[in-house]
Amino acid sequence: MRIKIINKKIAMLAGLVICVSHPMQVMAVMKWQPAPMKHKPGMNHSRMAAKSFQLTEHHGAKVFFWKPNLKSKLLPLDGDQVKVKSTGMDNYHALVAKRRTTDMTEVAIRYPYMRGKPSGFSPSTLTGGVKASYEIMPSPLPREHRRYHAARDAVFVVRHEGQPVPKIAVTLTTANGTTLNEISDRNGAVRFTFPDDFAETKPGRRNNKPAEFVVFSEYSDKDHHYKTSFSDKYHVDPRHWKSTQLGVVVLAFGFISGLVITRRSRKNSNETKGRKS
Amino acid sequence: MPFWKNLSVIRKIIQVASFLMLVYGSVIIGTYAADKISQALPALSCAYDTKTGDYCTLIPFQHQMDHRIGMAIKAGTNVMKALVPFFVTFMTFILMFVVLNKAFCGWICPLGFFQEMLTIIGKKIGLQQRESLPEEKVKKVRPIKWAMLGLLVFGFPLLTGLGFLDESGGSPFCSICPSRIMTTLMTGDVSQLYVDTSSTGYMILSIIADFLFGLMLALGLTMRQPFCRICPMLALHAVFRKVGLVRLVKNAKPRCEKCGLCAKACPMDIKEIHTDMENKDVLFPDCTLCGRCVEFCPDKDVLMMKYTVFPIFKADPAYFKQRKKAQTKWEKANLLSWWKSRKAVAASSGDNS
Repeated sequence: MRIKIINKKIAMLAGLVICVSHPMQVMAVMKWQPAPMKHKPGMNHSRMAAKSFQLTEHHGAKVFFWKPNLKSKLLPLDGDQVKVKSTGMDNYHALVAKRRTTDMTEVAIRYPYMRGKPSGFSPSTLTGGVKASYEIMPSPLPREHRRYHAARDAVFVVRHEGQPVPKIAVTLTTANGTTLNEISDRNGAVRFTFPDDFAETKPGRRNNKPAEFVVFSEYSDKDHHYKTSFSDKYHVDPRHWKSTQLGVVVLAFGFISGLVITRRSRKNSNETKGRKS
Repeated sequence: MPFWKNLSVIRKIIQVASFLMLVYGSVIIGTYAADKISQALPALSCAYDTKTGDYCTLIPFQHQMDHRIGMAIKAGTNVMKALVPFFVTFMTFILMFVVLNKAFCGWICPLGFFQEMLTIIGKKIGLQQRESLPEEKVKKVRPIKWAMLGLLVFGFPLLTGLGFLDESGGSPFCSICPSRIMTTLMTGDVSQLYVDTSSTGYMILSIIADFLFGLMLALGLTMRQPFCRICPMLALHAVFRKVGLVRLVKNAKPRCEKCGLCAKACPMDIKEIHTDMENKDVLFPDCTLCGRCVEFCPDKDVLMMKYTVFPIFKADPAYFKQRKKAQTKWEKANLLSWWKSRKAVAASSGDNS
């Protein structure tokens, strides 16, 4: 028990040292990212089409594709890329890359959104299912009409063999160059506020490309070392072109107009009543 | 009158439960449940609310008109294939709608309930209430809901898919819907109250939305159901009201001509429920099946709510008397009258001393 606690402390310290002193090292971990687009920009791309992902640091990795019902199959890597097709079952699927040596296990997870028909399986079944010995679970994945956004919070849970790992260092690194460090709480959860680090923003969501982020953590247990990453994209904070203050002003204007209409119609009806009597 | 016998109180309890389920439901049933249950609810429950338990059918209708049907026609691909998801949504909506008919408006809709709460607040503050709108105004307002349904739910999204409008026309009803602002604010999320400056279209729609919400807040304090009167969901319900299992039936009697209490009780100002002496089926397009007309009908079995052929609530003179008494008592109890009586007591005690 004591050894376990010491191990966890060492892991936590090691993680902290790695992410504080060598932020670029985090970028060298095995992680998923969208494969470079092959079609010409502006070409109409079907939302049901297969998606390609690239695995960095892919040598010796095995890739598994998980369906929402937790059934998985081995996918062949084409160089450093895989192509995933919609299974027709629900939306979120899991892409899990694993590499194991005698003393180290590395895992990279991503949850591609593949459009399908409802099958009765919740995304929480997929995220909650144990897909690797050490993994980062998004809690929750963004649901309909939601995305990861700059300046918004997101929670991730670090798990070892399905059990939450408390007090472990977790790093969030964005493609825009920000690194954030957090320590997991007693439930293994970390909360990050996505940095508003887009160099250039244009009005409108579709006019801004999202950027990639990676959540990374490492852990040691009984002479075995674990590294895991979760990656996805995050979008520009819509508050750059959506003003709540102006919204409140317009709402107040509408409210005052309503009061004026009420007052006028009351006056008119009183006058009508007066004329009738 | 005991509350369990008062239809309005029973309705309020159901409305509160529906409101909790539709605005905060995912807290109990899970984050993703709203994306799984029906996605075609015949009531204005909003998908932009991250805690919602299920969401309104108007969202998929707009998306399908834009992304599927419009785009398929534009691209010259198989339109029948694009129509499949539309029919799935439509059939889900119909299956649910048949069970409760227009009662989805009067008993389930969170925005309908919110407006009723505004009126209650207005009454309890002591604001003078408008009993009913003049007939000519009601007649002017009624066609708006059809325009909202035709243009904002089907027309503009289709034109957007066809490429005639910019992306702001993709889901224009959601962009102006007061339920989007109300339900998100209710969960402490202010992100849906905004003016969007990204394009002219989005700016106009966001200004309309905020203005409409403010207007609804003010009007709702003194007037019953201000937004419901122009709601496209009311129009959609009106189209299919004949297939619903809940019915509103009238067995007109000569006394009806002189009475008119049913029309006065109606929150949607449907005068026809009083004046129509021929039709048995009095489920008019604007009806929300709240049942108030039946409650305030003083003649036995003249008005009744039926589930298929079985009466579930009938007009009854004894109920009417008790209900009217309870209503008078309820309306008298407000802050203004309490304040006046307090002042009167203070004045009379001052005179005595």
